[in-house]
Amino acid sequence: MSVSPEFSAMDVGNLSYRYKDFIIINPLMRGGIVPKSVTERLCDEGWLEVGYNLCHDCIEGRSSLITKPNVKEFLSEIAVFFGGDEAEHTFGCRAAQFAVMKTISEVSPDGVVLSDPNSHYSTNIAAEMCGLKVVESPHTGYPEYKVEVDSVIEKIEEIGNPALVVMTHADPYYGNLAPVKEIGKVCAEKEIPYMVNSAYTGGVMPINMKDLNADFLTLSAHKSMASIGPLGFLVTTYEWSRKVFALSKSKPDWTGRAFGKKIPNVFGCSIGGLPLVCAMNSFPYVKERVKKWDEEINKTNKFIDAMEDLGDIMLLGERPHRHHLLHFETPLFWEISKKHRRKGFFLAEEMIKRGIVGLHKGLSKHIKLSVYGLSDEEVSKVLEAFKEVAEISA
Amino acid sequence: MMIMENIRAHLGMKYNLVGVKILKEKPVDIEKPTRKLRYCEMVRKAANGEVITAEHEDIACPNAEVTLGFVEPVYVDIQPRISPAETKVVKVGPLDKIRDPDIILAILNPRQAMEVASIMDGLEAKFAGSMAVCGEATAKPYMEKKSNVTMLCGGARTFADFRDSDLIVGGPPEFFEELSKRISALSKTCVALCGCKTSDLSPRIIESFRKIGFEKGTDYFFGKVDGTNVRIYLNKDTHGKIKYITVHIPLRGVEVKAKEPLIVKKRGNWTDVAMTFGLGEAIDLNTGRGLKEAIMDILKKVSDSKVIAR
Amino acid sequence: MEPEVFDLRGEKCPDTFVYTKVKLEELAYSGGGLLKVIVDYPPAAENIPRSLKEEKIKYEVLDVKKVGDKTYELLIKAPPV
Repeated sequence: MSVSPEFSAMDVGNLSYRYKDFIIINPLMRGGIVPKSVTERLCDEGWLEVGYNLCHDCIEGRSSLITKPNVKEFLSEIAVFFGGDEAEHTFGCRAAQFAVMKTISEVSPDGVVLSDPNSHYSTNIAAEMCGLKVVESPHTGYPEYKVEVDSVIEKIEEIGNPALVVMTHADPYYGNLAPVKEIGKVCAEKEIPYMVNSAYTGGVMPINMKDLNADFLTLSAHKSMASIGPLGFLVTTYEWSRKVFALSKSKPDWTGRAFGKKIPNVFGCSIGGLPLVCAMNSFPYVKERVKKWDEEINKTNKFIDAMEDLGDIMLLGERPHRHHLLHFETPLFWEISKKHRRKGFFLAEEMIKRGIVGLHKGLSKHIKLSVYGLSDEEVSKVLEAFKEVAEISA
Repeated sequence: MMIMENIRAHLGMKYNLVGVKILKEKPVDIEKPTRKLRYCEMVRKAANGEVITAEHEDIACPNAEVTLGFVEPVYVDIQPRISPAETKVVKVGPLDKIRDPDIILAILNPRQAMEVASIMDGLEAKFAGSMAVCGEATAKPYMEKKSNVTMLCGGARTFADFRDSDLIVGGPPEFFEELSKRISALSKTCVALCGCKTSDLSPRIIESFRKIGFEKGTDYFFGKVDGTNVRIYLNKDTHGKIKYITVHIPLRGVEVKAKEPLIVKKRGNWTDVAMTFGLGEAIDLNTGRGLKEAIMDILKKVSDSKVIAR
Repeated sequence: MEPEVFDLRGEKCPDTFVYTKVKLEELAYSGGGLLKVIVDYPPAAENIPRSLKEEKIKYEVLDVKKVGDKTYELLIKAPPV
């Protein structure tokens, strides 16, 4: 690879953040937006000055055991908040899913994982890494793409004994909520380990994994827990924690060293820096905001109606919608794009001109967005912007 | 109660420990179950988090009425049972929600029961596969003030959704307090020793060096002999077995001219004078025999060497 | 009237009661009658009479008697339904 002598990507000019004070509507980001009070505090107190900022007073040998500041207590609170017994933080939700798959692959080598069909790719990659085969239950297809209990049960019976059942609580494509409680009941009856991927739900809506009969809950701090990333959490029960959070037994032969406090399934010792500090600071805010989930859903459904009033726009996925991730089909914008000199790029660019960022660039047939956590005023601004863009005659 | 978390975490238990309260007087306000329940069903629900308070009329199982001491038997003296039959109310719930329980129940699998037995230096068990949760796990420990193990009964497995792999250890609170205490002691002795190790030098070798005034660094030893800094590194062969011993004398700001077998290496403004020799019969690392003599011998060789410049 | 003999030796709770109940219902729906239940699981001699009290059909336990080391005979009257 060659680098032009006149240009370097590391030129700080190219690194300037273009979207300060924009309204962000990217649905993967809305739940992860860090409260201003937290970002200010992190800057003021100097937490950004070093990558290992939590490790200064570590005498415990693993970041999740640090008591100053009290990471250990924070993780217990996370476990309790989500109805589990033990939690470890991970390098993102995908690492939490990997830890689960790794554990399952040890209990059931060559096992089959039954997954919902709307899962995030990382679920499949985690299974693949651990030599587990993924079998999907079908969804209901256009336009709702719902996961139904019966089709999951049918698939469980067809497989016989899946090594693990995975449900993506809210899916990243349509924002549908899977029937996680009903599936949990079936898994408990059949004694099948059950993982719920709550990357899009844990931290925005109330979840209790005991109520769901879940053995594993995977979470994403930067997606839904008002934190910068990468950071995830794996919450589990005491029944599984000994296996999934088992300590290292490795003893390299020549030096004879040992790493007895490290947890192999979370890559030894997980993040000890800014993402974790950020999530800890945001946690009180997260605990409060989940109580307002119903208000958020009302707002979201009103927004859906207003969007559809703009013209040839329709929400895909279940109705009434029970999650903030929205996927609209938008022939209205597609028609404009065909004649626009910027083609499909016009939509995202026009929104950016209006101070709104987060639509996938280049797409105009379909858009995914969220207004979670936006004030009424901001929601109006978003709607107004779409309205103006809809009126552009190419 | 902390003991619940401690025991559950150590044994890897999915369910709560269940606290059982046998009341001889009816408390003022009690929330009764919405339907009649078997005692084993109540225990199962408590393990999942529910608190259930039942009077005689709420108990669906005729055996449990007798074993839990609600009524005296009429035709046959069923054993084990709580006697005299003065029970008015039985309250069960997750242990952290039952204050001062009379009996505690742990739903375990054989592996977990094995660990309990091992930690407690043995468990006594008397069971007959009948009236198990109410009699064998509750009434018997209640009357005898000691623990018991039950493999459950047809009723519990038919009506209360116990799994094939479930068994119950029941006992008075003192039993579980002792179990929790022993678990804590275990984790102190084991886990603390399981921290990251930087080498596999045995405690005996470390002690040998300590005796002659050397402390362990990461994987080497440091100390002073007559005011001179000395470092000792134990070299391994390709299989990781200690074969040689190297004594290093780091000198700063001087030039040293030394003869074989001393090796002189420059590292910036440091000069490292070292000598390696095989661990023959003269030195025993485990007892420390010959160690001090060997070091003194090298030091003498160094002091005989010519310091060129300071 | 000679009671019908119902030998449940070898059975334990809850089957002792379940089988007794089914048998008594058969009897009640076919005009009523007497049933002699033999059990060698002593708690059944205690809990069968107690459980029958909860039944809609008003059975009458006429006698419970020990006839062997662990064996009991229960004499129960099933009314016609």
